[in-house]
Amino acid sequence: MTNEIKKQFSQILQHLAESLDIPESSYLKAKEHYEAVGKWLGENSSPLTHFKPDIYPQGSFRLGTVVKPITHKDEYDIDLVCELNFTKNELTQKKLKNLVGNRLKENKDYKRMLDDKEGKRCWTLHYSSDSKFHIDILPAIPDGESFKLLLASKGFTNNWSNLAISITDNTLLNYNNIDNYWPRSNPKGYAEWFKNRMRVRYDELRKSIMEKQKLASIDDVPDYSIKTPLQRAIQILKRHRDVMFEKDQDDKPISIIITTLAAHSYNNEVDIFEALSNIVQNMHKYIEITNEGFRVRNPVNPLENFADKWNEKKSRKKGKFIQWLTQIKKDIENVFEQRGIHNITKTLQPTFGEKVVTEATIRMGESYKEMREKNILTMSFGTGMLGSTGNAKVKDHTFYGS
Amino acid sequence: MAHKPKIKRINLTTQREYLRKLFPNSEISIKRDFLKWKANITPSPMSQTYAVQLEYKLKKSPNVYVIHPKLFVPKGKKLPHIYPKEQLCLFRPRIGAWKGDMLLSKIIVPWISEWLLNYEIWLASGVWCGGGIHPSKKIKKDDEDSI
Repeated sequence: MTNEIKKQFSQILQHLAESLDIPESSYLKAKEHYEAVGKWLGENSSPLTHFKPDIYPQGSFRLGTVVKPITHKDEYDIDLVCELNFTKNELTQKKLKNLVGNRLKENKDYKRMLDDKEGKRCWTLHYSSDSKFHIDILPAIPDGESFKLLLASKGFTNNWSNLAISITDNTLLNYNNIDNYWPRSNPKGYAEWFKNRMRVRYDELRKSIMEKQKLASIDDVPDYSIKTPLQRAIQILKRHRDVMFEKDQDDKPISIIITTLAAHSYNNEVDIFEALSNIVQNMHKYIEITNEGFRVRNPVNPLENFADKWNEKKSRKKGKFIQWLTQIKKDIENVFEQRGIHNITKTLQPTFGEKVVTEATIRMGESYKEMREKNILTMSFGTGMLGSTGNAKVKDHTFYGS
Repeated sequence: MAHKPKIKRINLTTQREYLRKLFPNSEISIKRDFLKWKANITPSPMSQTYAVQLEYKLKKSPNVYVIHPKLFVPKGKKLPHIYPKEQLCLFRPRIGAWKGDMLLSKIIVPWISEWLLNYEIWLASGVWCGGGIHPSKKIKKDDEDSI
């Protein structure tokens, strides 16, 4: 397979990922919403203010791997952590949960927007149907020290254990006890690990955006505008999973496993096609097989196995994961065998969704047009192939006729 | 009294020379004041390859046809920028950009490739991305609809 075909495939995948991504206007709206929640929880007049609330997004919004929902009815899921400065000696999980819940309810809008059913670990705010969002607010306390000690006692050390948190779970027996046995998490630590996996490309992109937009420093580049091939590949993987398992929600491969295995496999490839290809070929190598069964360790918590549910009796999850991986490899190979943009589109549509693929195709057409208008579109000898490195310039003009 | 500026029309031998340089494997024939050029063009690495034919009579505008494959038009749709008999419409005759002092290889041939690429994209998406007088359906940049 020639380099030119690989390059063009990368461009198609780039346009596809852009079409899958949350539109900028929606992203900024979401940010507005969760910053308002943060302000309400943390401002000076809030009863929580004494506990120095640290409110930050986690999950795909933090990692930059959000994908559009499959249907109009589905919503964007925004995960927000509300970390308050308490120790486990001072309060129970229940008390912490309610502290946050009560403050939310003091706001008449949030009170109305709160889900009727209290979540296991979080409070859920539903925005009006045209906003297409809901925000899950996760009350938490810092737990770096205790977590570090726990890891050390099991023979592990970790760069990001100082960022670890403890969270609540209202189905646990000790929910209303003062003790040390709270569930743990480390969203900030995971995000740092993830960024590290794509560090070279991330820094490069950030610098190039700064230069292109003539910003004063790299700190002026908003995080969400930086999308590395790893992030794009994950968006494509997640969408493929969403379409394939639309009618089989229970056992679909979970995003944290896809994200973690992809990040392990990524080697700072510059090209999206190379990245995606290497990821699907190598991802399985990072699934460990132990006495207990299959293991995908949380890279910032070696005591946590993301694939623990695979080992439950009668679970179909491992099989479904393999099925998914096999299918995406096949689907990518299939695209290569096509000639003609229209045939490529026809092949991609059932896999990724008709509308996003159509949008990606139009983006591609517009990008060629832009190249011509900027006088950088060229054509190569012998084949007539259009691109940026050919021999003859394509003159700007208009098409008339019919 | 104003008079038309005299253009230095390029002769067919020169046109052929440049076409041959651009597409060494193409077929070119000249019969008196009439040039015919046949070549295979692949507008992008993943595109199909098209056999095209260019017919140029001195003092007239060049005509370009797609010989193979037959241009597919989905039922109920109308292929834009095409004349009858699969002749490509690349510019407006008389008012358009073609003048006898232009090189076919430099001006027309790249436009053929672009037309073919836009044709594939039109088939794929229903949108003609080449610009021009026909208003094209612009994609809504931040379309809130999913899928």
